[in-house]
Amino acid sequence: MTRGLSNIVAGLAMALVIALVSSAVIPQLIERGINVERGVFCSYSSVSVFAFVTGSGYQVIAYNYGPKDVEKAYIIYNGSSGLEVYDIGKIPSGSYSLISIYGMPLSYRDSCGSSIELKVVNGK
Amino acid sequence: MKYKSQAEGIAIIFMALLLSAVLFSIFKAIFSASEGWKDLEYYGQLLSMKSSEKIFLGNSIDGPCISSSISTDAVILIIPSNLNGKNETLQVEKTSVPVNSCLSFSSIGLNYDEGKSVLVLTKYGNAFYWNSSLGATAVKMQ
Repeated sequence: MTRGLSNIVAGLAMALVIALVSSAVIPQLIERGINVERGVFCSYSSVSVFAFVTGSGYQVIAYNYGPKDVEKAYIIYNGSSGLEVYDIGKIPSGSYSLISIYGMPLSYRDSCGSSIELKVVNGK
Repeated sequence: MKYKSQAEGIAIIFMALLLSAVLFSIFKAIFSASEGWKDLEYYGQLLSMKSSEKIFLGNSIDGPCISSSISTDAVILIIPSNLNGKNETLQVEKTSVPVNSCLSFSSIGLNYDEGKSVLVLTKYGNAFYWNSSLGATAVKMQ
C-alpha cells in the first residue's frame, strides 16, 4: 500500500518535471519557428508600390512579386480629416491592386512589417 | 500491487502525452526552418536576376513594343501625359515579357500614344520608367 502510494507520487513528480521542462521549451521552439518564418518571409520587401496623381485624387498600384501572399496591406494618406488609412486587404502572390485614394498617399504598410514611402510617378 | 500498476499507467500516459507535445514542437520548428531556407534561396535567386534585368522599348509592325534582357512577368502601366484630364485614365496589364521578340502594347490591349510614359513593375522586384525622350532602354527606378 505504502509502496503503491510512493509510486504514484514518483510518477506524478516525474510528470511534473517533464511538464515544467516542456512548458519552458515548447514556447521557445514555437517562437523560434515563427521568427524563422517572419525573418525570411517578411524581412524582404516583396511589393512594388507607386502612386499617380489624377484629376480626382490619386491612384496607387501595389504589386506583390514575392512568393507569398501579403495578408493585409494598407496605404497611409493625408485625407480630409488628417492622416487616414486605406485598407487594401490581401494581395496574393504575383497579383496587383490598383486603388483610388482621395488624398495625398504617403506610405505603404503591410502585415509583414514592410513600410515603403510612396513615390508619385507623375508628380510635379 | 494494484496501486503500483495504476500509478505506472498514469505516469506512462502522462509522459507519452508530454513527449508527443515536445516532439510535435521540435518537428514544427524544423519544418518552419526548412521552409524558411527554401524561401531564402528563392530570394537569393531573385536578387541575382534583379540586377541583370533590363527592359527595352522599341517599335514593331503593330506599334510600340517591349522586350526584356531576361524572360520575366511584369505589370505594365501606361501613364497619360495629363492624368488630370477628365478622359485620361491609367492603363494597366499584367503579362509575360519576352527576351528574343518585342511584345507590342496593342497585342495586350494597351494603347500607347506619343507623350505617354510607361512604368514596368517586374516579378524580380524592379521598376522601370520610360518615355519617348529616354531612347530604347527604360530607366530603373528601384
